Amino acid sequence: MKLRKALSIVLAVLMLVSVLAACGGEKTPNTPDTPNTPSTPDGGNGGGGAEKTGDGVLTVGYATVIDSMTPFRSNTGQDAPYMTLLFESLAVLNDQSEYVKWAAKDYTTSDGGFTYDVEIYDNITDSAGNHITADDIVWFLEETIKAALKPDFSKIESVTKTGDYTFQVKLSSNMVGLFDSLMKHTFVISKAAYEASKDGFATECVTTSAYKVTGFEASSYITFEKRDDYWQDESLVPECVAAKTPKITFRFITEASQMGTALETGTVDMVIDMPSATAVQYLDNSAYSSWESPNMQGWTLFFSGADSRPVANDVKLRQAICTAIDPQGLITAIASGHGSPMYDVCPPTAIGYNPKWDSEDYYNYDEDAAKALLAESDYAGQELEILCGSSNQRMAEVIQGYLGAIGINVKLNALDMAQLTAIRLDGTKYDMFINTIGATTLANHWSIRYDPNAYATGDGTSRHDYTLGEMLYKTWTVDGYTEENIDEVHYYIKDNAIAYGLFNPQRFTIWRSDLGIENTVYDYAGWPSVAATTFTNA
Amino acid sequence: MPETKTAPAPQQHKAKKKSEFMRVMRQLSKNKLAMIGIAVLIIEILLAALAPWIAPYEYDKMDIPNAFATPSAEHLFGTDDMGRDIFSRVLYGGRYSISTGILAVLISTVLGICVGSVAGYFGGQVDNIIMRLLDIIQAIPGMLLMIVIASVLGPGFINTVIALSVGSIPASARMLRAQMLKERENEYIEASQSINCSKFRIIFSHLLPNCMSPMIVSSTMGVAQTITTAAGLSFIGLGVQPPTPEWGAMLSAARQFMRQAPHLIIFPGLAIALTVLVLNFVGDGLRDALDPKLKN
Amino acid sequence: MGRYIIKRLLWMIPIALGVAILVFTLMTFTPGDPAQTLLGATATEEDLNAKREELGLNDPYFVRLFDYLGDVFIRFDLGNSWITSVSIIDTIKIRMPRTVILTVVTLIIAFGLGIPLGVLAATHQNKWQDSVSMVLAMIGVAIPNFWLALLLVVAFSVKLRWLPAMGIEMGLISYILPALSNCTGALANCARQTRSSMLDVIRADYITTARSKGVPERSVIYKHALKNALIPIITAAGTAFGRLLGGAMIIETIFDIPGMGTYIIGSLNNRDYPVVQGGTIFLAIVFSILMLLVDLLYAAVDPRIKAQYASSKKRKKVKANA
Repeated sequence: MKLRKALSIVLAVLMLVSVLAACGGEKTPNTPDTPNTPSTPDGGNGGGGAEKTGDGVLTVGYATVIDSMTPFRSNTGQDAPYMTLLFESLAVLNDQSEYVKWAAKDYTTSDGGFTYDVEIYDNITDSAGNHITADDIVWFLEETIKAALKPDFSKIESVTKTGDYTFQVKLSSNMVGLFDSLMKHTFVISKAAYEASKDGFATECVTTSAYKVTGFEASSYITFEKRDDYWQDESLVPECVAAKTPKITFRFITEASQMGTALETGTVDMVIDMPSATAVQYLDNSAYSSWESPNMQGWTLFFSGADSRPVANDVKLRQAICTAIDPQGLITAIASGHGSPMYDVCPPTAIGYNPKWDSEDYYNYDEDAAKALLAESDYAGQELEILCGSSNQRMAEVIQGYLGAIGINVKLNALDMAQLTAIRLDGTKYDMFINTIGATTLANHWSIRYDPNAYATGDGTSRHDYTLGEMLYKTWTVDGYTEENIDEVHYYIKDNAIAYGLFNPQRFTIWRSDLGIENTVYDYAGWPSVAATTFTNA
Repeated sequence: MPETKTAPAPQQHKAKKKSEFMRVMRQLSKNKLAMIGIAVLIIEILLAALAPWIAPYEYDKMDIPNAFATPSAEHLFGTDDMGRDIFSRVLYGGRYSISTGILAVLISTVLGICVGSVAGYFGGQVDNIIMRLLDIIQAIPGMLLMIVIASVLGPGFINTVIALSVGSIPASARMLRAQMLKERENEYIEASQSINCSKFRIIFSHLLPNCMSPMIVSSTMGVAQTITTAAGLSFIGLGVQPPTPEWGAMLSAARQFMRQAPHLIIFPGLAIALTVLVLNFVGDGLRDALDPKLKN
Repeated sequence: MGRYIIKRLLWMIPIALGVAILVFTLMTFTPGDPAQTLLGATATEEDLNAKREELGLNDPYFVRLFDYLGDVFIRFDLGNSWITSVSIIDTIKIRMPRTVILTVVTLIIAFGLGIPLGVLAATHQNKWQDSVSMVLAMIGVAIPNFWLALLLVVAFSVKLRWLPAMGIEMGLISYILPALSNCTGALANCARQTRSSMLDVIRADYITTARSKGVPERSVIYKHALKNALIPIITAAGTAFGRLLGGAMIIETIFDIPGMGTYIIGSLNNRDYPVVQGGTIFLAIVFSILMLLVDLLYAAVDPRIKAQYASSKKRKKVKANA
């Protein structure tokens, strides 16, 4: 009996140990590396007010996760507020949508925007002490072209080193804004440091910014601490990327319903890009402050251009659909009332946007007019399919509801990012596609979506509209980016209902009012720049 | 020749089965919880089936200005973030949630019976191979397997049902096999074998009916479990597509509003909890009624 | 028994191989092109082809399968993540302990509450205590875990401020809410198991003897009956451990616990096949080892079963009854 009992206990313990052993015997989570621990939950402070953390670390909640700190990444997540804290780039976009030089000391163009000569500062060092020269930049550009993760880099014809700190870039296109965008996406990193890293900076990275990474756990958190050996004279650093806050932790919160909880329990001091449904709860609460900024992208409904789809060649049907959707309803339902209607496929923040469009009719919501347009169309009760990402399912549901109201039969196809990416350029797979396109200029946005030569299957929705194509090409050059040419494209897309700007939600940043913010600085994406803003009580 | 000899047997069997059925029913009717469970279930299924006629609103009728209305006479359970009537959606949701559960369990039980009875009856190498194959499926954590299969198949009602059923096939196959091994030892099977009854016939008319009781109990419980698992799949974005008002999908969509409008997550959550609870009552009742040990 | 253990351990090889083949095949049929996911929608056909070539996606299915099996079972290398190029086994070493801690805390809560509930039900069989305990247990099963999680967060983190709502920074305390939301199923099973095995034991002769000898009722229940009823409860704990280990995906997601569940689900969404495959194979092996230990535990505490390991013919019969 005793033996039996002993044996059973031994086996039970063995069971536990074997599992722990199988995973390296690391029994407790490593506490030293973990970020800011929330202040002790204080039961007495039940008034719903924020708790003062004051631990010297600004902890920011953010929904977009990074799995790796690699500098070779696609455009996904490029606007995340911690990106500029990792690597310095040649130039940076400020909150006025102007490109300002950062690691680049100077650059000149000689032949109408095809060739650029760039000079970088000669005293750049990374957090491991490596000195950075033109070789590193040329290497980075070449690697990025090879990795093919960012489409802009495919327009680089050649990169040549011309001196210790100078190099020349030749482009195959002189499209407006292209070179600026390349400058912004060219990170300054040391080739030697990158090659010495065991996993390509995935888990440990050597930074060139004013910060170094002192804690990182993929998809969980990243902690930055100000470097004391930063190479640049602080007076030469653009204001939007200045380093004022000594220590910052970004905590990734993927579960939307947990964002508010994190803020209220003191897990984070601030949440950037809080979903509107949660954010509106803090707007009237004096314990919290908020900052609203319009989305840089706006939501657009793209119509398929593939001949097999009913919408592709039926202008009246497309117009009926645009007229049947009430942007105000979308704003109420999806953005909790905080958003603005759109008057173009691009939001007003895009460079080249003409404010006069705002006062013109843009498929004003009218159910009866929509029904009349539908009657004129060839629509015969087919099931139309809306494609969207699974995170925008609700938006698609609202649109489905509006279209149902005028008698259009709609099926939703909400897919995860991977499946969406695989079919979103294939117009034969959907009638309508809800998407948001990031672009700093109208020309850039248009080239991604409406250039019939852009992809093997035509434009972004498999359409082959060469009339539109010709109009687009005119706007691409520096000389052709005129109001007249831009207008032409705008009205063509609008009148033919090739795509429809749905609405532009406001985005929210909410923080504890007692953070002691002085002099808020915003970054180009419209977020308060947490590094450049002064917090007296973080 | 065997025909004549076995002819009276089914008759007897039937009579015995009938009395057995009556006994189980009598036993079951003594169990208050089980009776409550059956009553609630019948009501739920009726409500779901009659949803198009009794629901006060269309389940997808939006009324955005009237979103987040709290429960009232007009909207019994209030309205959701798009102003849709939650009561109507819960009624319609029952159709999908309950039928997902039942269909998935039906599929896994039928396949489980096929696999299990082959393994259990033939034994030896056949049994060994089948059991090892089942081991492979069972070695993968159930929820993980379902999630992987659901993403392989993509969203949709049928795909969700398939994903939910695959993971539970081994369990029901194993149970049936175990039961079969026990039954196989019985004298009447030996008798059937001795008179050259076909294997198929032995399995289907003799072995299976006698192995069914634990299967019935576990299926009832299985439906309950599948409903919560299906809700879990919807919660992480797999599962049926909107605007289909599946209960789990309703919960998932409403979770970001739970603080300002708790009724959005309370009613679909209660619907799931109630259904699962009563299914468990019935399952328990059936187990007690079928278990000869607890006859008295 | 030594031979039996070796035999079972050897059986794990084909099972792990089978799991690898199954998951690999499932991944092959998952819609969505990993190259496209890695490179983004705007990648050209050339870039995509180059990436596919690099990842080996252009090779025929069997070539890739055998390559993969070779890597895993001959070189014992689960490979690197396609997205982050971090070694998968290194990531598992960091993440698995968190999932294990969550599971252990869950089990402690489930059995800490489940056993007393079961004993209460059994000792008051057919009285109101019995019904209430059993209904309570059933309500526990009926509430969806993620729903309970949302409610618990509001109650304990937001309103009462007792417990952290996410992350693992506060050590064991961080695991309490996730474990509470996750434990209901195991708790109910434990309560039922305790009740039924207690009932079996209470009817046994030696308990009657103890009672007739005038041993106090409390002592009868806790010293004699519960001790003997524990055997099936312990094995139930083993099974529950295995099941919970792989079943906390949704809970890990809600509470932002960087464990195995969030690792595998995140990778599934990114079509990071090597991670999904490696993670699943790892969990399957751990699960198989656990189940072997459960069986051994069962044999160790029950001499009737131990005796039967001698003859393999009889063993089958025992398994059938189990």
